[in-house]
Amino acid sequence: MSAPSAHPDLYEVDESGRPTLIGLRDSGGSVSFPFQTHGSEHNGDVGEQLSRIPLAGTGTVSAVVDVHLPLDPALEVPYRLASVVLDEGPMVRSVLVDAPDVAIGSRVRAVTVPVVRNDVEVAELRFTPERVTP
Amino acid sequence: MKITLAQQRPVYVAGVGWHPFQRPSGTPYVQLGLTAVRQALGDAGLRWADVNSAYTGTAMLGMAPGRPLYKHLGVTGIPMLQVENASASGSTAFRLACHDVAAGTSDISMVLGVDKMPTALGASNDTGVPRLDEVHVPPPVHFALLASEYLERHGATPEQLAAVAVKNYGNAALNPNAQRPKARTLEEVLAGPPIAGPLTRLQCCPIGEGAAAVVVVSDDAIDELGLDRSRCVRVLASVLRSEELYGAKSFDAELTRTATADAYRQAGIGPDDLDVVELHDAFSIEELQYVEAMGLAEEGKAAAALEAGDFSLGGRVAVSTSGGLLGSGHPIGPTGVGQIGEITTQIRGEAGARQHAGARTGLAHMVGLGAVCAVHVLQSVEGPR
Repeated sequence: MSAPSAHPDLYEVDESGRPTLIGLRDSGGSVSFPFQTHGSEHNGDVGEQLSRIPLAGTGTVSAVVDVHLPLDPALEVPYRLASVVLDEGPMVRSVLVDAPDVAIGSRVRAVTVPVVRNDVEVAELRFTPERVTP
Repeated sequence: MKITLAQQRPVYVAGVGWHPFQRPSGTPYVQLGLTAVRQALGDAGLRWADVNSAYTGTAMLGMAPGRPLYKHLGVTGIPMLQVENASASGSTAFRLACHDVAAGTSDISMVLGVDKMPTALGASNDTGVPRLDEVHVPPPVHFALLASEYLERHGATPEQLAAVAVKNYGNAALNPNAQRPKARTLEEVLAGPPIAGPLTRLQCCPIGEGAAAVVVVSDDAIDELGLDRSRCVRVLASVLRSEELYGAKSFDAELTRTATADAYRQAGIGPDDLDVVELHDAFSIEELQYVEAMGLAEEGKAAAALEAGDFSLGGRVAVSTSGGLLGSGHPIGPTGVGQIGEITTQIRGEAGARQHAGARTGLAHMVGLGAVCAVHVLQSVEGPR
């Protein structure tokens, strides 16, 4: 059984550890990430005009770098980080795992890894190469 | 002769709104502000899209609280700025909005006062909207990702990227006010330490402290006080815009494109008329992106143009003669004022060893968290080249 989501307001995690990113769709059909209730950047929709929608968690890498700054005690430097354009449109930035060969244009998918934060194990979002099932 | 508010066209208050004043709570400042703004719009019978400018009075929220709040009304790209003036912050924001409307640069201006006790994160990171990249993507990593994308898309090299820093340190070495007044070789810039992606430490600006000031005067002041008109430099255009939605593109570059185009129109000039440019090169990649967005180089050709000397002292258009943010430093508040000072000095022909010969027209460009973008065009009182 997986640890709970590190950020339940950004993504849910099922028992197998698979994450579902939670996006927002406004009345005009524009999709953004994450879901929030302040209002749509696209058209100012607020309240019931905002729908909470699951995102597929798959996308294409538009930029990738190795980071040498020790920003996170849970990560050894350098670690690999990417801009990922999700299939629904929004762009997110995330740490990559098992991704030595990932380059711009690579397909990736969301996964979680167990990380201890404040003495509690949580499932934290990462992206990894999308492997096509033969 | 100065003009008072009463001597300009009339201004009126058309709508009012509040979020109740209360004890400190977990309510994000964004929610406090949006509640008051939506109520004021409703009270006036206006839509957010009708509003031409927004002044936010705040003393405790810290840097850049405006756009992260207003964007939830649907982005429109209008000028936004924060006004800090201690207990009079809100009153001062109202005064600026009144003058904005009285002068005719806006027809409808939103004034919002919003505050709550400061947090360690700062306003732009404490909006109440969760972020996936809060820990892992500080500015150097954000710009390293943009650099990664740029190099791949345009076939540019890390050496061409580092050449931005080499040029700007060369200029800074001639500037007595620069924080890093030392010329650097390409090898020194590339030697690191590495920060993220292709960016090394010398491709990231230092944040320190300092001050800069300029005095703005009217024709009447020049005449009445007998000022030396030949040393005055005219401000031809002033543009302030806020970020719109650009998909996955670099928002700072796209915002720069729009704001600069507005400034060219306002000044009645084009990119070919510029002699000197000071731009927001907090990271080396920014210079390549912004000179393209400003029309000073074709898309993807900035690195080659820089290599050919186009942006050097004596080149086609000298970029960051001061040394830019990389060489001069970026003390935040003074940086944009220092740019105006540098361009004025260049247009006066008083820049000494770093003088760009024949400088008559200059452009100053700053982007800021939020994001916002300010562009000013200055020109010799003798006109263009």
